[in-house]
Amino acid sequence: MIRKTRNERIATWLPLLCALAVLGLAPAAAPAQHVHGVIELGVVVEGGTVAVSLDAPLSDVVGFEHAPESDEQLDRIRQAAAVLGNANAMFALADSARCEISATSIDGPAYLTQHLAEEDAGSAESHGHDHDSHHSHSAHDEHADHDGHDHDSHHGHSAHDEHAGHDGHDHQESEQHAEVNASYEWACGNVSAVEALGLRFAESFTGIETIEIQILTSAGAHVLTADGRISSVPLSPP
Amino acid sequence: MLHNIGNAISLVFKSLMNRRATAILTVASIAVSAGLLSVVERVRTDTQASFANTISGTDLIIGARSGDLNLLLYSVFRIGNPTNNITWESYETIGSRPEVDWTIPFSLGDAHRGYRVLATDLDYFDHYRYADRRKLAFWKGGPFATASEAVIGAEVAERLGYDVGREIIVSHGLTETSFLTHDEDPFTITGILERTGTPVDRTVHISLSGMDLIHSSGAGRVPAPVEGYEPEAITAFLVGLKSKISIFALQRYVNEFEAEPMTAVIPGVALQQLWGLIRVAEYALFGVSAMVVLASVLGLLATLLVSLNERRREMSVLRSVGARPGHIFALLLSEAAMLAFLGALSGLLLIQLGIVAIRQFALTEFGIQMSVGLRAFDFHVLAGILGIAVLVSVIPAWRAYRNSLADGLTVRL
Repeated sequence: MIRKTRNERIATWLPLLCALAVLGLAPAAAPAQHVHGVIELGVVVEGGTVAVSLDAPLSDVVGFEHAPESDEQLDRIRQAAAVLGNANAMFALADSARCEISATSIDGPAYLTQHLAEEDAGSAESHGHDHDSHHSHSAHDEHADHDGHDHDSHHGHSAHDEHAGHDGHDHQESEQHAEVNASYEWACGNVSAVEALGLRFAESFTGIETIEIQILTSAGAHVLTADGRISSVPLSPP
Repeated sequence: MLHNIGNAISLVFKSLMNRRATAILTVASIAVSAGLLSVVERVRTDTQASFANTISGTDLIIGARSGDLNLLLYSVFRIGNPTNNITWESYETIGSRPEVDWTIPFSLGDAHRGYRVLATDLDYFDHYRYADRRKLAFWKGGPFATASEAVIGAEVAERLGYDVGREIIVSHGLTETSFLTHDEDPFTITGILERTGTPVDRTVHISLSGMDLIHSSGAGRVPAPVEGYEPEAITAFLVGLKSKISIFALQRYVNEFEAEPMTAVIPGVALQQLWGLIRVAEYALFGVSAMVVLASVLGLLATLLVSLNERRREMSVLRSVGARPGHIFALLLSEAAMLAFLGALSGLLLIQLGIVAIRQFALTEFGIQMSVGLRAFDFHVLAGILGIAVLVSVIPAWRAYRNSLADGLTVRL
């Protein structure tokens, strides 16, 4: 009675394919997911530009996902901000490609991004000195306005931000998620020399177990899943 | 006497012809295994190529929140069903972002005699690309201009015998015998697309206003114009970006879109995920085929071993006319090599005939383009089988060698 369409016959022919699709077993389901230990890296090479986008649960970057509650946690937040804000501390591109960082954008909970602004303004040398004083001060601030209205200082309204800037009265640590989204762009004089993307953040960010990488180049798209400690990602298809 | 290769081959061949029944069966079993291995690999690569060729030049596919693969499969491959619709407002909001170059709205859910109906707008014919950025071309006629016009794919036209000007009825729902067939809303075919080898061939295209026309009810309906028509909702849309650099940022923007839950997938990435998922099945199939090859080579080994005893006389005759034990060894090896070579070669050639026979069927039923011709992988199969056969035939060859030595020394009755 019911005749299947031709396309549905494809589905019957590849039942596994279809079943898996319907089950929605999609690994690396874009930035919507939040899996601890897994960070997502998107790399685009087009024209003379290399763009890298990183999505990581905050716990993989600093070890927790809430506003810093101790001096030690604040320290880690500041260190993470320092690394995230410095493209050269995050990634490495071949010298012969003559790449210059042209844009950096970090999106995340305000208690992280506010330190980023400091990092941008007062660069590395002032960092060590006023560290202690600012440290406690800022931690105090965080606690004071923990109801989170002005937490969202950055442009993006991400669902994660809302989570992070939660009112705090009933939040449970386990349900609280905060995410960091960072993107970097390089303008390269000799983009053909960019054969791999060096990863330098593994030492600073301790919680990373797996890196899911999506690469888009003129050769097409390919995806890789790598161990969190790899130091370099080849950009050409395997 | 075994001085030149020609003689040797002819000797091996004549010896085999003496045992032609077993030889033919051995060749046949190797042929089947080689063909199987080659077909498994061929179907895998051809399927991947056909899927990859279906969409080109589209940076993102955006639809209601669902699994990446589900979105990719229902929107582009017309496999499975959409989870939900998205509003026209969301479509416009995303479509008007500065990094977006073009968008193509898709509305799915209806069928005509088993072929899915895709409602879209005229941008589809301008921006949709398949294979290596090839544009859709009209074989006959042109795009729809009113709400009650349709453009059909090459296979729809061929299978159903439709031509430009013919009126067709689109039914609500996906089955051929739907209860809700709107006899009062015939669509006139204005164009037939050239064959693409993609699901486009199996699609009936109508305008978004046409889709709403089917679904609205009652008298006094006024067909809306095609250009500038804004439906309330669509199923999904394709996005082309001005620069790929913004692709991950836009993807994140869509995935975190506030007004409604949506998913944006990069077609190439989602396809890679699909291959990643079915890789296990591919490995299993490949492993089974490899085992079949191994079994057939073991069969060859068994045949050779069994034949040794009944061939003592043959060996003795060869020895008596001057063949050395080394020649006997080489004879056995070349016999195995010849059987394996003939088997693998005939298997590989036979599947070419098979492909010619099923090629049209595979294309129209599954949308998979299979091509004739030996590929690099086939030569690996040939060399592999030949190598394994020669390797395992060292055992019977060694026994024949020992036998011929012993037979030469001891007198038996």
